[in-house]
Amino acid sequence: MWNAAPSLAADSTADRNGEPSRPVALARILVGIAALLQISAVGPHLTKLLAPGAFRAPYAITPPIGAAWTPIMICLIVALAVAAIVGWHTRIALAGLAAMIALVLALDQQLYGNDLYLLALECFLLCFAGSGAALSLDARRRGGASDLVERWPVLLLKIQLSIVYAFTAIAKINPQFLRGEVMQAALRFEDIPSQLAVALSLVSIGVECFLAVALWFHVTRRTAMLVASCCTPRFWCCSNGALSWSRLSWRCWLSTCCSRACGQASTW
Amino acid sequence: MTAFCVAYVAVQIVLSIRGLSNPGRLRFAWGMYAVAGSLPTIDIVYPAAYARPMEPDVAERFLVMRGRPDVDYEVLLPPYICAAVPAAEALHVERRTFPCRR
Repeated sequence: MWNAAPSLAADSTADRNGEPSRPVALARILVGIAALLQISAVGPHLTKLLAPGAFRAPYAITPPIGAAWTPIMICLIVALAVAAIVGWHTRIALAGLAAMIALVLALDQQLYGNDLYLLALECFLLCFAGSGAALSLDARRRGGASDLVERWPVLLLKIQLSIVYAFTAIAKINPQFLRGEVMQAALRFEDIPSQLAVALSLVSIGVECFLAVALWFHVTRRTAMLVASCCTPRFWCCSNGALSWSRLSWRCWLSTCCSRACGQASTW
Repeated sequence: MTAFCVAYVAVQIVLSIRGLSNPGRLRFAWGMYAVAGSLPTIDIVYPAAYARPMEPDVAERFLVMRGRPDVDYEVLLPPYICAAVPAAEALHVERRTFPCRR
């Protein structure tokens, strides 16, 4: 259905008026897939939390939504994510997805997660980027893909991801993490040597420092992708390894797409 | 648009720097998996006439999700447990006593 063009062409089409549309469209598809993964993880919690009698930790202002709304909310998020992936009324789908994720976050303090928050920000920025300009039903309906999309949301998305990696690495430089306690709590294997947990913690910090910078540069981007996809300790060692891998990996792919889109700007 | 971009990045950086003062415990700051979530130790105190063994991991029993580092369970859980356990007279939350008022 979609006409996949060589990705190298993306860098050459970047100019002062916009960014190549295809990598940004790919980023949109990744964000839609990430939303489906996230809702599959959050959905069961949402159902249990909104059930009558469950312990709730509301905010000062929390939307009055009961258990009956849970399946409707989940179905709506899935529908919006699918619409974002195929690029059907893309701006509305992404704006709706950002709003629905914000609603889920506002329902209970226990539902807050940085991954969900980041996903809402990404939907928000991609909505402004015009990410439905290519690889989408919208483009097909218009009779062809547009070559360029807005530059500023793409740049903000890249900066956002670097901020996430950089500050997560800095936040991990605390006694509990450096002693390996956080890593041990997340490990699926019991009784591993504490030295190994400490080593994995240090590797984790190193990986995130590296990713905060490496995804901006053409020469290090491929290594960064390889590191993020294969060598993250959480992927191999955590009980929810697959989800951890998907979270870290799609963020990197997303950043790579944005870097491609930014072309010359990515060599800052 | 430049003003919006600068404001967006500034807000992200300010919130993240603020979060570094208490890693992993402030929302909207980036510090995923920087600290492990921990639950307070809670013991239910029953009336003397009501023979009931001490229950371990009370806090965990009432949660439907894993403990999060950014939720103040010490404040939010006791009223809920008092309501959920009608026979409870008081709760020992860490080193404090929380009376269950009926």
